[in-house]
Amino acid sequence: MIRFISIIIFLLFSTSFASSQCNQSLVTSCSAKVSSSAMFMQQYRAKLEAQGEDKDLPLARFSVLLNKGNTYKFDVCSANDSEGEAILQLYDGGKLVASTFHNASQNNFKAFEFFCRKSAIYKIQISFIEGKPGCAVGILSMKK
Amino acid sequence: MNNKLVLLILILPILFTCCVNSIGDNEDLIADTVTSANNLEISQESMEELISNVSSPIEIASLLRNEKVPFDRACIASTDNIDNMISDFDCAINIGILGADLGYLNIYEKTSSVMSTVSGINKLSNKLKVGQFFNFSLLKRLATSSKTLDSLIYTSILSFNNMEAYLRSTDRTNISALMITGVWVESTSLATMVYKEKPNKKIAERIGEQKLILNNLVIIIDNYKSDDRFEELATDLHELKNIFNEVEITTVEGEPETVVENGMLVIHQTSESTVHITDDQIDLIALKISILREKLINNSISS
Repeated sequence: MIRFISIIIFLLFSTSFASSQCNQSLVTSCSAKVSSSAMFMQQYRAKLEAQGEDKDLPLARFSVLLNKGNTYKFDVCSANDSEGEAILQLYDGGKLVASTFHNASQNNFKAFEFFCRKSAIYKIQISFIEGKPGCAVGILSMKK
Repeated sequence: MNNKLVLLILILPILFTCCVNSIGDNEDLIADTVTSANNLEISQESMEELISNVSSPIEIASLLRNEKVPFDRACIASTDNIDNMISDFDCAINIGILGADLGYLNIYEKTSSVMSTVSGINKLSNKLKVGQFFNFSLLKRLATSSKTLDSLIYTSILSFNNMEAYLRSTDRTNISALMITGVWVESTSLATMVYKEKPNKKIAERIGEQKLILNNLVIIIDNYKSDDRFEELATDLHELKNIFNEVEITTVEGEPETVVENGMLVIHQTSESTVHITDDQIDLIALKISILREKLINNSISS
């Protein structure tokens, strides 16, 4: 009986600590990917539920003004306990401009650089592969 | 007794886990696409989206530095009037103004001058009850060395981001709107002041591109026009918008090119925008923004 209780207590504590991955520490660790040749500019947080049956893919959407002449870098980091792996996409109006998911190689990269030649308000979209639930952070930086 | 003890042992961790999780929830990531309805004509979600569209103050400062424009202390707002600022309106606008100045100082590595601006931000943010987002001692420590500049920039931006997110989550989007207005006014003022001294095509284009932000800013501030001070600010912004309406931005569309270089995904955009702006237009913008800036710094937008 005591052993059973101990296991229950252990599992409950384990769950609470595991879920603590999805917090400010994820922002901090992802921001560390900003190289010394770039400047941190913005963070984008996404915590999404699993895609329900016959439901649209859950998305986290943000807007950002990007300026011509700048080179930006977008990093995306999924939390350790995130079931889903994050994809970060950049849209100009309705047109997909950039994505961490590289169709040609079918690889999901953790970042991309974007040489901006059109000043405009762009849309950032974060989702998780196969609509799994997940937690992720996107970091925008700009090359100095 | 044994059964009661067992029950207690089972319940206690559940209660503790709930508390840990609720504490964790405050720190847990909250998607920035939070939606909540309020009495605004524009939805809360749309307001948040519009607010997030204002560009970072360090971008203009970074452009100036890259164009080899020397630092000019005269471009920084005075903090002499900070103690006279009492209303939320004045405090919020001037946090934005000082935030833009902080970006300028950071980019030019004027770490010794940063503390005065940080101190001003600290005072104003305390008046607005958002001072908890600025770790004053950390900022002071980071400002003492140019080696910690990147950390200073990161900490400054993060502090503003977290404060702004808090304001949105506590239905104080109007305060957030004023802050970003302050940032925009000061950044545009900086660009026009510099252009006067050192005309430069890239700076001229960047001034013209402020049209994109101003269009959203006007929508944001208009939304709060039931307040007299917001109404006066909206009038000033509309006058600026009338000038910017004459600035033309044309775009040639193209398909982006994606390559993998040294293991990094790189996207080269082929679409290109061009700004058509004249010196006369820049002079008009400079004059208008200067007048507005003085009003905001001297809190002479009447209540």
